[in-house]
Amino acid sequence: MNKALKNPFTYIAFIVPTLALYAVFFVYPVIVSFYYGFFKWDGITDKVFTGLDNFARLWNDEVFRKALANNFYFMAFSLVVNIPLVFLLSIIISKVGRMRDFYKSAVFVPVVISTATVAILFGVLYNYDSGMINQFIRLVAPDDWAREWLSDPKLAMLSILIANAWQNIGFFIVLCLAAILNIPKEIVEAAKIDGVNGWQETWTITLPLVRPILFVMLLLTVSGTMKVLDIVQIMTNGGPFQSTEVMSTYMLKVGFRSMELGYGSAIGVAMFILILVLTGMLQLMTRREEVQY
Amino acid sequence: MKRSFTLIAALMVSILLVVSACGSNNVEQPNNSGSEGTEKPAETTTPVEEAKEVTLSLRHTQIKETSKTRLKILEDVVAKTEQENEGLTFKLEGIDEIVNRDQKLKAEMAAGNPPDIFEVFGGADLKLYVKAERMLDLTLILDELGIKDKFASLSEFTIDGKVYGLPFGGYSEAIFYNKKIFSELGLEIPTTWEQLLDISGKMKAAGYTPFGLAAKDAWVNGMLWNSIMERHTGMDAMNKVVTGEAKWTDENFIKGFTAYSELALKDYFTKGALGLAYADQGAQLLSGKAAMVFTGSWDANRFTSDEAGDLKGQIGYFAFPSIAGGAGDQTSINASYSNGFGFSANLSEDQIAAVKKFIANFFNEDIQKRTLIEDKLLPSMKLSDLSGVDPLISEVLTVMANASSSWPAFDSITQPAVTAEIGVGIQELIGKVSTPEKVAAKIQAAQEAANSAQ
Repeated sequence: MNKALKNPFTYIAFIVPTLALYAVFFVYPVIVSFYYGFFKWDGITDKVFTGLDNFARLWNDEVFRKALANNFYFMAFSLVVNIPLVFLLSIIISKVGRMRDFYKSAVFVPVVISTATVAILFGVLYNYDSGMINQFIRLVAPDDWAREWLSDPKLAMLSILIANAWQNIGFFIVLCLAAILNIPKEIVEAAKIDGVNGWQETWTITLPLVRPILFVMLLLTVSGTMKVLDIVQIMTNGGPFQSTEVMSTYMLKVGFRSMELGYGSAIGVAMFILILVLTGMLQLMTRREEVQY
Repeated sequence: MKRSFTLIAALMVSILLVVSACGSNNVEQPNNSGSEGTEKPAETTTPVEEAKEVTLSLRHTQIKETSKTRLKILEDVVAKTEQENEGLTFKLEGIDEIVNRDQKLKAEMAAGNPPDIFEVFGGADLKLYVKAERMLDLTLILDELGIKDKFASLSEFTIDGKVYGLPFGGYSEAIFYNKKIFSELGLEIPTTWEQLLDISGKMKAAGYTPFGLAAKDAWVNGMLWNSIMERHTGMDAMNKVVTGEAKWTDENFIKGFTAYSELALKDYFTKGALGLAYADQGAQLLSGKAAMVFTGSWDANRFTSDEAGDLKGQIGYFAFPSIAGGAGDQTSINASYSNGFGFSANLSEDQIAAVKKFIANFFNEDIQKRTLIEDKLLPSMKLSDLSGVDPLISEVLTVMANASSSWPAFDSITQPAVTAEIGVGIQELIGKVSTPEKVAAKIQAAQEAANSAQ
């Protein structure tokens, strides 16, 4: 048995299946996307080589720019609203002694629900006529305060972001909470003896000590929001009139609705590079982080 | 050493299993037909005919609650065909119709591995697939079965004189309306555009939504827009923009966009429509909130179902009114037989023989009649007996019979990229964020790009 573990082939045998799947479903598609990006192709008839035309078109494509801006909006919202909210809720939950497990599970429930379900659920809540949100607004405020949540181009993106936040913060809270609860009690107790108040404790002890987790959240948020697809696709399908289009929904539309697979691949390539650069930068930043209690 | 060898061997076997399981999905069918091919010479030596194992995959889109009856009919035909032909198995797979049409089937066509039998739309979709030689030519099969002349129209599935698909039903698009609201407000069925605007105004004043609309999916909005456009431009205009003889920015097209935009500007559509999915549109009519809905006759099944409640029997159908001064045929209707079954060009001899039997069992007067009665789907074949038909369906058939001519939907003519741009443009008009001229100019730009790519 020990010999088996010393035999390099054993290790190869274990790795090969995963590597093969990874190659077939990840490496190969990425490489061919780069290749297809140089062609004009409807996916069925012969490809026509067009050089960098697709990428030039991408550069000038207003819809793509709008989609990119929406991705950044998505990211900014998640960073500015979600993460502070996560931190706040985690602190609050870490402070409650009774029923902490209940709160922990409660915030985690939305994570377990599939995104498709969440999207449809919020679609119902946002309905202009019969949605609960507008019903409530009409109850407590003048009727014309009711909003067309998903069909007003000014509000549609925000409506999606709220639904997305509701679903995602649970996971982050659990991460953050684990980090907070991991902080050795002695540190907090020593600080208490020195007379720090709650605010100082949060700001000078908790926050610096959970920084690595905050970076993990940052990384997950950036890569997650740049590639977001499902919730947008289901809630608005990029509409109304492409005002909530994100890169991946636009890629899907161009590739498989308009049957311009070459251009669709070019969009995919652009996404790939963008996400790679952004996460690469973040990774460089996080490398220096190490917590010493 | 021995044990480590066993361990590695076991691992290798499991890897092989994983890999072969992954691969089998794609290569299963060719493998089957391949092995049958090698069995053939053996069979010629033995005179006793054995039942051959033939498998046909069949992709349908009848997965919604509302299409239960249609699925049942299909399943019955499949069961009957299996029973009559020993060794024949159908593998049914149901997926969402938009996913099938826009994503899955297109991707499979690109890869060259479509299902053996699949639902397909005639017109632009089919043209692309025929060009790529993915579709089975049915001309000879139809001649052999002698059913070619029994179809109401095969034009959407005929390319260069060859037939590549068979419609299982037809549709027409016009206005379904709530008879109760019409009689409550003392309204007449409009025959002109002015009358339509007039009654819409009265409906709105009475607190009803004149046109129930769910505008999230672009094709839904395309229906009413298409009819208004035809009244203004004539049915040939769509062909002309594709050849470049006409432009979307021409006067008549602008009039069409403007007329559509007028309905939006007057708030005759459901508020918040842009966020609603298609199913919501019919619900608005059936809940009594909307007085009219412009949609296709395929919704008739839903409008006569139990969901209609109080309104059962109170839903009617009338043709889109005429528009004075328009260049189109003012009493024409958007009607077509474009929803059908296509067959893969990859089929083996045995599979084609099985397909022939499926066609004979599915495309006949009995099944068509059953579809009309149970599913309220307009028959694609000429029926000699029309007894027992639902009153709403009779209205639909009457409207179609009274139409002076019929034309196919615009998206079976315009290129997919243009269709997408039209979808965005109409949504902009509904959302009141653009003008008819701007929308037309954007669509024209997409049209020119698409035309130059041909």
